[in-house]
Amino acid sequence: MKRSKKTGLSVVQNLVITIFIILFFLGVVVAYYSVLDSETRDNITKNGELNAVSTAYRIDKYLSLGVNALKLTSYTLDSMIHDNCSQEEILNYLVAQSFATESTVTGQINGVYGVIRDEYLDGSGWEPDEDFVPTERPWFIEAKARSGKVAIVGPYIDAMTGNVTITLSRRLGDTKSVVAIDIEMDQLQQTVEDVASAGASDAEIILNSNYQVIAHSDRDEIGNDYFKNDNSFGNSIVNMLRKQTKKESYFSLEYNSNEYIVYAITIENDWVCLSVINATTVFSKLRVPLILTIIAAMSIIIILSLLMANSNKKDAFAQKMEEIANQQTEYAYRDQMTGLKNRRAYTEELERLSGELPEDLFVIILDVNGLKKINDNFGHEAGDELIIAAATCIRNAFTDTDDVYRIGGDEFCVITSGTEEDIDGSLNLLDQSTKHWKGVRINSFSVSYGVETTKGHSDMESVAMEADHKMYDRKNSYYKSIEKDRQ
Amino acid sequence: MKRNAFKQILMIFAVFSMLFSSVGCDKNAPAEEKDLSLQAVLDAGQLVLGLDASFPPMGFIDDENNIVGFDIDVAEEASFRLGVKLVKKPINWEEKEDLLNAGEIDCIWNGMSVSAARAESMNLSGSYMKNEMIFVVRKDSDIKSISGLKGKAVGVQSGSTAQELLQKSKIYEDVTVTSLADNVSLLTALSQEDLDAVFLDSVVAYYYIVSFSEDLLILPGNLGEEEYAVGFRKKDQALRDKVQEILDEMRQDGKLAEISVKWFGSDITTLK
Repeated sequence: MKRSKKTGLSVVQNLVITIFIILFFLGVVVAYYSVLDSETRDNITKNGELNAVSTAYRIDKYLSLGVNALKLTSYTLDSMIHDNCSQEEILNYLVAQSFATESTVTGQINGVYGVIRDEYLDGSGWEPDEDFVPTERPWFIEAKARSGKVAIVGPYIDAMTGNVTITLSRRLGDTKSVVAIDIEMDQLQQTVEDVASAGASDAEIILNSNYQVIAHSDRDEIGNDYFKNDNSFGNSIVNMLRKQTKKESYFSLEYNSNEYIVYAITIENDWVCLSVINATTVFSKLRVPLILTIIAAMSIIIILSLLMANSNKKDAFAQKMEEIANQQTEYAYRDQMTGLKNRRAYTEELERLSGELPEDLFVIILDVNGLKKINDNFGHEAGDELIIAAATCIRNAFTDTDDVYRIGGDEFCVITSGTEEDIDGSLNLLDQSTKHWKGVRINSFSVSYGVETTKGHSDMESVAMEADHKMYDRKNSYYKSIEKDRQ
Repeated sequence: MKRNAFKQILMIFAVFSMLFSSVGCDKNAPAEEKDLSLQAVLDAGQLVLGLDASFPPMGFIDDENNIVGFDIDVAEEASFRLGVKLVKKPINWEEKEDLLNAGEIDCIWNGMSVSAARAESMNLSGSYMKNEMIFVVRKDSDIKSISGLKGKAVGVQSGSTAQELLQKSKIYEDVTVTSLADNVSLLTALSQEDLDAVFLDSVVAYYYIVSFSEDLLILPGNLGEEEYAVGFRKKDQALRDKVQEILDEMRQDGKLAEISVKWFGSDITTLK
């Protein structure tokens, strides 16, 4: 029992160690994955940053051409107004300036125009309709509102050319005049589409300061108002964008259960260049092996647990078998009726002791008197009761030893160590207990016995035989005394 | 014994799952000191706004002696949404930080430019408008450009970022600088030929010239761009955050744009 308990514990220890090893490796895998994950994320953001920065750079460059042209023009106009130049002189300047900008920045800037001292002057030679009210035009209103800062109006489809156009306008130093130029956005749109189609990002977007779409890799989005609270993808981006505090930032965004990483750069005129990358597809590629690894590890743990539990079960079974075997051995060496050891145990014990015969052992052979008579007169049940009673009395008399045997029908043997006084005491006790026995059918009986010590003997057999002789001698004298009584 | 082994396995799984779950958790932010700034304003039932009342159109005194302006309208709306009364307290611009820290006012809200020093000494809102720093001269002036200011008398407001900016600029050594308490006094002095030029915010200059003094004009070019923000006491995070939240709301629902259109003809606010 003690031995098997120890085995059970080591099974658990084995299991714990194995699981820890698996968990360790799983931990390593998870750590590796998280490094891979963050590196991939870094890559995506770097990619996004690269796209956004390059788009921002190109837009800045593109716009600054227009902005600088406008600033230069307005600087000269401010001086001309200050010098009280005539309207004609100013118009001549606008015409020359239109020609200059159109020639140097080919195909992008279409003429310089404005309201100068309350009069509309157009350097491109365009004649407005009669119902044209320049001071009601957005470029005029926006420029006036911005107190000398460059206003960007649009994008809109230019009535004259049919192209996507924005207008840059600026209020002049006399506070009532406004000068403006138109810039075609086709090149800008082309830039955005090129970056996106290079596969570097899923969407490239340029928003103005009011979160209106100036350019988008998907042309259909141009002009949409992403500030409008309509739960669109664009609006989700803007909501995140509004939380950013830096000029350059990136954030991840959940939309329709997809994860997007957005890189945003605010450029000079408060426009925002956005590079949007759908990270779900990238990460799902990463996650599959991780999930597989975790499943595999979990399966191994579960299988191991089951196996270990099973081996535990086996262990318990073997133990049970052992117990049964022990019990069976126990049965084989025990007399069923009396519970004492049986003849087989007795023979084996004699053999064992013969090998190295101790000097201080006593062998006592005992025999119940008058069993045959009881059997004949009162039946076997009474006979059995007598045998059990005798066994009980003998057992109780010799408490110092386990070696109490039933070696025949009514014959017993006790092997014990001790002094002669001890033996005499025990035999006395036996005589008393048999004499005063009160059973169901049996009251008072007697036992004949012969005692022999191992001293002087070379084997147990002879000791037992001597004890047996002594017992018969006693028995004979017992029967003689009974017969004498009867006579 | 078998049960024991299973218990162990269960325990290991529990530990494992705990390990996993703890990965996603960030450390809790340390508990902040209790900030009663918002509660104090709500309890008092008023928000005391400190302003330079000569800063049109952000905050100024109109013909009927009322304090009005873009910032005042925005602050009125924000106070209304906060559920308190707005108290407008004209101050000497030079003393604004002292008055704020002394608790005389709850915020400075009047076209206050963001600077590194102010960001350090105050708790600023998000910037809500851009502005350029420009020179105003008389129409009949012989000054045609910034380089033409050499040897001229230039006025600038005391305690303003304009003053700091001018001191740092290249032309500072070549001009005579006069500092006055407010821009209206400076522009009046310019019209009266006591000054040759005034260096100030373009937002104020354009509005002032159109509204009050057509004899002035703006020199081409500028000495830099600035942004306006609302300033709170450094420690008043709760109040600052609540006001910011209201401003963001006003941006979202169009109220901010509406006020901007009223004062400028278009939405020129730059709040995110």
